[in-house]
Amino acid sequence: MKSPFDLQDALFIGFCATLLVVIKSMMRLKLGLSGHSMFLMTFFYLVCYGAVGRVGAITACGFLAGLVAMMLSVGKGGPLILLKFGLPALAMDIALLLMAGLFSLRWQCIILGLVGCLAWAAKGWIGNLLAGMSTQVALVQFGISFLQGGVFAIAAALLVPSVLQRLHAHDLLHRSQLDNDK
Amino acid sequence: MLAKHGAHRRADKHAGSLLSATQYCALALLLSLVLSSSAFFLPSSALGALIAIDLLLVIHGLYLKNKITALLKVGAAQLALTLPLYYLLHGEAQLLDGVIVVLRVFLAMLPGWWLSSTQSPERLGEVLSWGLPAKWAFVIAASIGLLPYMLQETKEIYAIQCLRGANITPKALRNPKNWPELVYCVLLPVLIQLLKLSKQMAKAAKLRHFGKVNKPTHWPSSREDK
Amino acid sequence: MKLIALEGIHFGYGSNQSEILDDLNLVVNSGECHCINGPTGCGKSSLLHLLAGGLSRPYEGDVYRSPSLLVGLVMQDPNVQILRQTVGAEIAFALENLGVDADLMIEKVQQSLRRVGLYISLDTPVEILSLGQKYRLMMAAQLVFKPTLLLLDEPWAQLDDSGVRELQSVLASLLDDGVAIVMVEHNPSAFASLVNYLWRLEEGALKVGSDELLKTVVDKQSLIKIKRETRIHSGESLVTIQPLHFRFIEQERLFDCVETLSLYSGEIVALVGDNGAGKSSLLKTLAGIQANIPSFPISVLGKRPKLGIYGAELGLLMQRPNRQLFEQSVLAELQFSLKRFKQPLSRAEQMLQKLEMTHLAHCSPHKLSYGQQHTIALASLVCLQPRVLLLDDPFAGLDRQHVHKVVQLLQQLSALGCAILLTSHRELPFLEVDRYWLIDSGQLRDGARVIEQANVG
Repeated sequence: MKSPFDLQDALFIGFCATLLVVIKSMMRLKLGLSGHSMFLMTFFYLVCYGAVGRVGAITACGFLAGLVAMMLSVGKGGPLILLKFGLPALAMDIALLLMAGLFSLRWQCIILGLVGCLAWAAKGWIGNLLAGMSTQVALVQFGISFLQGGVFAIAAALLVPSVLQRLHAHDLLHRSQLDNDK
Repeated sequence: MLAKHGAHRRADKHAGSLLSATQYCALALLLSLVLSSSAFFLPSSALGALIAIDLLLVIHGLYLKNKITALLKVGAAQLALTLPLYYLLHGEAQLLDGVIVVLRVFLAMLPGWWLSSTQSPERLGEVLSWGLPAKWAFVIAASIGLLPYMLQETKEIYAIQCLRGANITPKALRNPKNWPELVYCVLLPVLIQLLKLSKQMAKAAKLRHFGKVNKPTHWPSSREDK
Repeated sequence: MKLIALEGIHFGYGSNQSEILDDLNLVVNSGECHCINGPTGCGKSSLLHLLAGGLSRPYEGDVYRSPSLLVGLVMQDPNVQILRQTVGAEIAFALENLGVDADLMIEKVQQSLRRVGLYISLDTPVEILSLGQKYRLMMAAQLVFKPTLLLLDEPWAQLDDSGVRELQSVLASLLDDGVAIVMVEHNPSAFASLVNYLWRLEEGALKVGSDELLKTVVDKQSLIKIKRETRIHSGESLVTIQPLHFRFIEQERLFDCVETLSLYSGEIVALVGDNGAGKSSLLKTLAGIQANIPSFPISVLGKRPKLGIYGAELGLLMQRPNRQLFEQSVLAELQFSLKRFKQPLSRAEQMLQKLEMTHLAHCSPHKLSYGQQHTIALASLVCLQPRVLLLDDPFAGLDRQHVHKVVQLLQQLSALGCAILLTSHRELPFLEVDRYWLIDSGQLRDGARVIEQANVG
């Protein structure tokens, strides 16, 4: 596999993934809220996409975050944590491919956040169904986590465009999604 | 894939010795994957056997002085969420089904706990990066290596902005209204630092010939093992 | 032997800005030591990266590179160039990328480690090294692939005096072996004995630098200037440090404070000591943001230091203050704290006027030069007119123009009665201080007189 990112982008994606994992593990100690992880995930994934400006950045960030989380033994999931970070990222990238250029950055971020959240909640849903949970109960649980996660994901998605704009205004993005828009 | 690499590694080591720590780790990873997935796919009648096996893992983990409370809490939370729903939607009769579902989910998580509490993160990393291209393996190693620096930066920037009067003390953050301030004052400067850092590190790595040859060699880090 | 020659180089960022390098010429032969001097932002770093062949934007002009040319570059901050966790792996990085056989690595790595005078195990974790050791480690990481040209970016600012001495002897032996060295340095006198050619980068071209730069500075550098008129402490004591063993929890102590030290209102005190002596930690402790320390008999503004209790009364400027900039304009950056502490916003504009930086008010702070960013970060604290101001190495990496601005800000604040404590790993030739505190051989003391040894050394 020849990766489309140059080393600088790859390193930035790696740093974002690591920071995401670390902040998430610190937050879990303080906040008992479930769903807040969607805030961090959405925020860092979208920043990665915005800063690197390539489809695939989010997936890379997601799987790196999963690997890093395993290596730092964050979370109890073991190998499952790869899916936890990776699936929403993959879903977001696929959504990006489908809606390239259709929306403004702001709406793009919100939709991506929701798609990621959907994938995140669906992962639990499928797991529950596989474990033999009745469809109704699984659906209700899916609904609850989607709502909880969705609030956080939208909150993060709303912040990202202005963060990107600031980075752009400071001339710090050498190739960014914002350039493509204008 | 794993097995092939394992065989290759074994050839490197002196013949006749038992599994190397890395191979053992790869096996543990495989085992935990198998156990996790069987928690979903085994028929209910076979769950007893799975519980027995997982119990051994728990004993092993606890014997190595690891805490299982966090996992138990997650299990309890799942139970507290699922059982009332079963009661409401299906009535008392199917409560047992609910318990079994939660049990399966719990059993799926348990091998992961065992894996991460009995294997060193570095070893896991080594196993996981077998299939990764050299660039990404480098990125992961560099990110983890820089972790203390990143944490320090984040903490210092947080402290600086607190002193400058930003409304981001733990108390102020209880109010979600102040969260954007945290993002702009702390996360944004941290991202700026990371952007600069990735640029500088990429430059440093390239000046030291990163990416020159297709198959880079490896520093013999485990030469003390002999 | 001619290694590299630059002829008529033109280089700039963007088309409408003036050129950074404008008809620049330079020839470097093996065994020569070139030192390039000039104000910050004059293009010294661009020149280094051009020599290293890593300039990301296009340039005009001819570059001759000898077939034997192999370039090593040590950038300013060792911390951002370290790619691995152990000393051995760090040095071997270049060998790995060149496909050198693993069996040959250990020998080569050990050679270059000895070459820079580091006698430590290959498995030493990089994080426990001092800054000076890290710098030499980065040198070793270059030397391992036997470069014929070594480039150094501002080594003096990064190192303390013992670090500079260590570096000097390493460089001397490299020159003897025929390696060429080009360093960018705004204090060339520190390397006077090695430099063959001193250049000044001005208006995009290299001009022969005057020998003055190499000579006179030596005795100026080793002095702390104490104010002539001895001040009687009319003001109140704002900071008091009682005798203590300064250490982190469950670690060995960094230093002992042997006498009670006080900082009075209106005073400027310098805290002097080597890298790693504990200066930064002490400042953070005074500001109440140092984690992992036991409780110390320290009082600041009458209270035991804790984050968030001083409001606008205490300011702390940490190292690399450009980290704290985040607003979209310089003016907003200055107003940030004024808004949060409900103080008159007009002070921000007045401050810019005083600094003669009004024209930058609406610029992004991240587009400014290093010196300007530094000054703005400090100004945002000075605006608040704190009663105690703590500064960690506030002159690091500044050129003369911005040193002057920082001095000016500190003097104004001191005149308003603010107590100022600043650290330095060097003596301060340009700022008159009332007193200084010294951390030396594990002891923090009030330095009664200018250190005699400093003049000798």
